[in-house]
Amino acid sequence: MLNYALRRLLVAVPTLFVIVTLAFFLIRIAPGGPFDLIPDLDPTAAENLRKAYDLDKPLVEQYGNYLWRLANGDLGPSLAYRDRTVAELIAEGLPVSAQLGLTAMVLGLFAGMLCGIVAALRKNSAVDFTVMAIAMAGVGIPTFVTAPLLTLFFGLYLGWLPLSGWNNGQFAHIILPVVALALPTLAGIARITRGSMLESLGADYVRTARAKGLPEWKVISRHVLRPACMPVVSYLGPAIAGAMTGSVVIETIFGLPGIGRAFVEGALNRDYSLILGIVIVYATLIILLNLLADIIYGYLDPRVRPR
Amino acid sequence: MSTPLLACEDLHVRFETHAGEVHAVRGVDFEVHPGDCIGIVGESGSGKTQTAMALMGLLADNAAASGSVRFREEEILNAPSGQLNRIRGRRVSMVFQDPMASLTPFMRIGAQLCEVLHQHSDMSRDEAKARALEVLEIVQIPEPRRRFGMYPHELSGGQRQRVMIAQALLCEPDLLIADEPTTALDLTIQAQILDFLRSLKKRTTIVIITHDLGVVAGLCDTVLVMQEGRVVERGATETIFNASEHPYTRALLAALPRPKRVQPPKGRSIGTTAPGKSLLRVDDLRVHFPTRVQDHLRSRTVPLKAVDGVSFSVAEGETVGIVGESGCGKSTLARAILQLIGSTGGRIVWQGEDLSGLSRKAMNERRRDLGVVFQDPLSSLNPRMTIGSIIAEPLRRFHPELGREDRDAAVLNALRDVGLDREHRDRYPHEFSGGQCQRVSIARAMILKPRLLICDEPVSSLDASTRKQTIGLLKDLQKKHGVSIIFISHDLSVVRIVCDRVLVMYLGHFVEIADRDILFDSPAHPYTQALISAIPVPDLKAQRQQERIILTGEPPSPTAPPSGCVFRTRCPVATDLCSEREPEFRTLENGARVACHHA
Repeated sequence: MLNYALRRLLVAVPTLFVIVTLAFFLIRIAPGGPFDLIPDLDPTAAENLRKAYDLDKPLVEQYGNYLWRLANGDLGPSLAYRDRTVAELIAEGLPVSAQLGLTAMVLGLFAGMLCGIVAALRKNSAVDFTVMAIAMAGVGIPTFVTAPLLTLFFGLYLGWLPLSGWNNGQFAHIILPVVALALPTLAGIARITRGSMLESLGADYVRTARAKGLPEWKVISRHVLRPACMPVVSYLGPAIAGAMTGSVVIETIFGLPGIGRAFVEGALNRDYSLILGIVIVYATLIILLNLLADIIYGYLDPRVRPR
Repeated sequence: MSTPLLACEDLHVRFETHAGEVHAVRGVDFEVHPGDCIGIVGESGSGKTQTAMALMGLLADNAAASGSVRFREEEILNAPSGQLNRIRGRRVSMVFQDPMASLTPFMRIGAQLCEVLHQHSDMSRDEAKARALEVLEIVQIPEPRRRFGMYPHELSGGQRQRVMIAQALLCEPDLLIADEPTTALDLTIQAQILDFLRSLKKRTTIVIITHDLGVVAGLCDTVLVMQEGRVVERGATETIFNASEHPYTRALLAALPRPKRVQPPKGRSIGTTAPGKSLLRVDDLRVHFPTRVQDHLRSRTVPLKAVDGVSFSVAEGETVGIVGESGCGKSTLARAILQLIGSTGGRIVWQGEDLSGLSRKAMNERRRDLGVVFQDPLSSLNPRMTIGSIIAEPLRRFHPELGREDRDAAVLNALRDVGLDREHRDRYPHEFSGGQCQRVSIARAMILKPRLLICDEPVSSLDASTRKQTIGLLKDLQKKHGVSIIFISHDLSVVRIVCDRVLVMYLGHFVEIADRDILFDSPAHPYTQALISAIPVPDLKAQRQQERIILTGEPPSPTAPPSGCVFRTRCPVATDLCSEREPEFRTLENGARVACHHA
C-alpha cells in the first residue's frame, strides 16, 4: 500500500509539470497585461515595471526562470499586490478556503449518503420521490443561482443570517456559503448512493445474508452499505474538483477572503504569478485527494487492492 | 409416519412485472420428513427456485406468495422477518448456486461464518472461531486456518462452495436446502461436492433443487418433477427413472445423454473411417501469458502456461472434441488457432500454410474458411444490430459483389437452415432465448460455408432440451456442408454425442487422444477415467454399479505447474517416476494415444 502511494506521488510530479506549463502559456495568450489597470501609467514607468518583473524577456526564458524558481520553492512576487509574495497571499487565503471546502465536503458527503440510503430503503415512497426531486434540483441548478437565492431568503427576507463576509470564520457567517457550496455535492452523492444501494440490495450475497437469519439492520450495515459506498468514493475525486471551482464562485459572491476569490481577482488583474501559484495549489490538492479516494476504495474492496 | 419437518400446501408465487402478472409457482404441495433427501427437478423457469425462495421468505419485492408453509407445525409463509430469523440459518439453511456471487466479496470467510454463530448462539469470539474451523474441517477445506482469514475471491470455485455449505451447517440445521449446488462447478469438483452431500445425508435432511437428473439419481430418495410452476410427477427416485408416467418427465429423461453406447450415425463423417485430407495441423503449440506475481517484496513476471506444447490435427469432415475443466487452456487453444491471440511457440498449419507467420491482412482473408461459435450466445451478438445484419455481416466483408437482394436471399437461407423464421430477421438479439441466439451465432458462422467451425462451449448455457436441439442442428449442418468441427466442451456427455475423436486436456497439455468409443469404453489415462466416472449419470443402475473415482484436490496453478507429469498431484496412481519425467505420448493397441507412465 505504501509502495503504491509512493508510486502514485512520483507520477504526480510530471502531471504537475504539464499543468504548470499549460497554465503558464494559456494565461499569456489572454489579451492585456498586469499593469494595464494602473491609472495614468506613463510608458517609461510601464517599461520599468516590466523590466523589474522580467516580463521584457522572451517568453521561453521567462518560463525557464519560473520553473527554476519553482524548483527552489519560490512562487515569486505578486504582480498586482506589488509588496506581497504569492506565497504570502496563498498562506492568507488557504485557511479560509480549506475551512469552507472541508466543511462543505463533509456536509455533502454525510448528508448526501444519508439521503440516498433513506431514499433507497423507502424506494418509490413519498420520501424517496421528495429526496430525489430535491437532489435533481441540486444537481441541475448552478451555485451562482442557489447562492444569491439563499442569501435573499435567509439573509434579507428572514434576516436570520449575515449576507456576506467572513468575520474570522464565525459560525453564522459560514452557514450560507457552506450550504450553497455543499448542495451540488450533496445532491450528486444522494443520487449515486441511492442507485448503488438499490443495486447492492439485489445482490446474491444479500440474499445469502438474509438466509443466514440476520435481522435487516445487520444485513444492511454489514453486507449492503460497504459496496454501496464504493461508487460514492469514486465520485469523490470529481466532487472535490467541483467543490474547488464552486468555492471560486462562492467566495466571490459572499466576499470571503479565500484563495478562490484571490484566483478570480488574479485572473482579472492578469496577476500571472498569483494565478500559477493557485493553480499549483489546486492541482496538488486534487491529486492528493484523488489518491486518498483510491486508497479508501482499495480498503473497501479487497479485490482491487494494489499489490 | 412422523410429523413432517416441512409441509408446503398449495403454494403460489406471483410476480408483478411491467409485462403483467407472472404466475411462477402454481399450487405446489409437498412434505419433507426428517431424514428425507428430496430432489426438485425442472428446467429453467419451472418455478423450482422460486418455491425454495418462498419457503425461506427470500422472494423479491415484487413477488407475492400465498398458500401455506409450515415448519414443525409453525406457519412461516409470509411471516415477519423476526419470526423467520429464528428459523433461517439455524433450523433451515440454504446453499445457493453461484458461490462467488453468493458470498459477500469484501468480508473475510471467517467473519461470514462467525456472523451466523453470533446471531444464533451466545458463543464467545473464540468459541465461534473454533466451531467455524471445525465445520471448515468437516467440509474438507484444505488449510482451514489459512482460509479463515481469506476473502472469497482468493478461493477456488470448489472451495467457495464448500464455504457456502459450511456456513449452512454451522448451527446443525434440521433442513438443508441446496439450490443447484454444483451447477457452477467443474466436473471433478462437482463429483467431490456430490460425494460430500451424500455423506451429509446421514446428518441432516436435504432438499436439492437441480435441473440435472444425473445429480438426483446419485443422491436423492424422492423426486419431484416441476414444469411451469406445478409438480407434474413425484415418487421414489427408482420409480421416476424406471417407470415414469408423465410425458414431461419422460421427455426430460430422453433429452439427457444416456450412458449407453451411441450408435454411429448413418452419415458417419469420414474422419475416422477413412481419414480425409488433413485440414489443420497444430504442432507443439504454446501460448504463455506473462503474469506478475508478488515474491516477498519484489514482483516478478512469470509465464502462465495456458497452452504448453499441444499437437493434433483435424481432417476434412471430422469432428474433434477437446474436453477439459475450466482453466485447462481449451478456450485459449481455440483463440490461438483462430489467431485471435498470439502464440508463444509452435506452428498452426492450415491447409499447408503456417498461420502464425501471416500478416493481419492475409490472416483476415483466411477467416473466410474459419467459422466460430462462442459460449455465451447473447453477449457474442451485437445488441444494436438486427439478426439479419448480424448474419449478413460476413457476406458484406467477403462478398461485396453481392447485391442487396442476393444477400437477403442468403440470409433467409441461413435463417431457414438453423430453424428460424424470416420474420426474425428484423429483430434484435435480446428478443430471443439463449437457444435461438445460439442458432443465430451458428447461422453467422456458417453463412460463408467455412471449412472449419470452432465451437467453444456452444451448448453449455442452454437447457437440456434446447441443448439437444442445438447439437442436432450442428450435426445436420455438418452433414449438409461437410464442414470440420472443433468442439470444445467441459461436458463429456455432449462430446460423446457429437465427436468422432476426443482430445482430453489438463493444465495446458493433452493427456489422451482417442476415437470417441475407445475413449469412453476403455479410457487409458487416469484423468480421463476420473472424468468419465464423474459424469452424473441419469441412470440408477449405472450409478450404483459404477465405481466412482473421485479426484482429490484441485488443478494446480498454470503459473507453477508440477514437474514431470502435470497431473501427478491429483493422480491416484502417481509414482516417483511421474515427478521426474514428463510422460511422452504412446500409442496403445486400440489406437488410443496416451501420455502416462502407467497406462
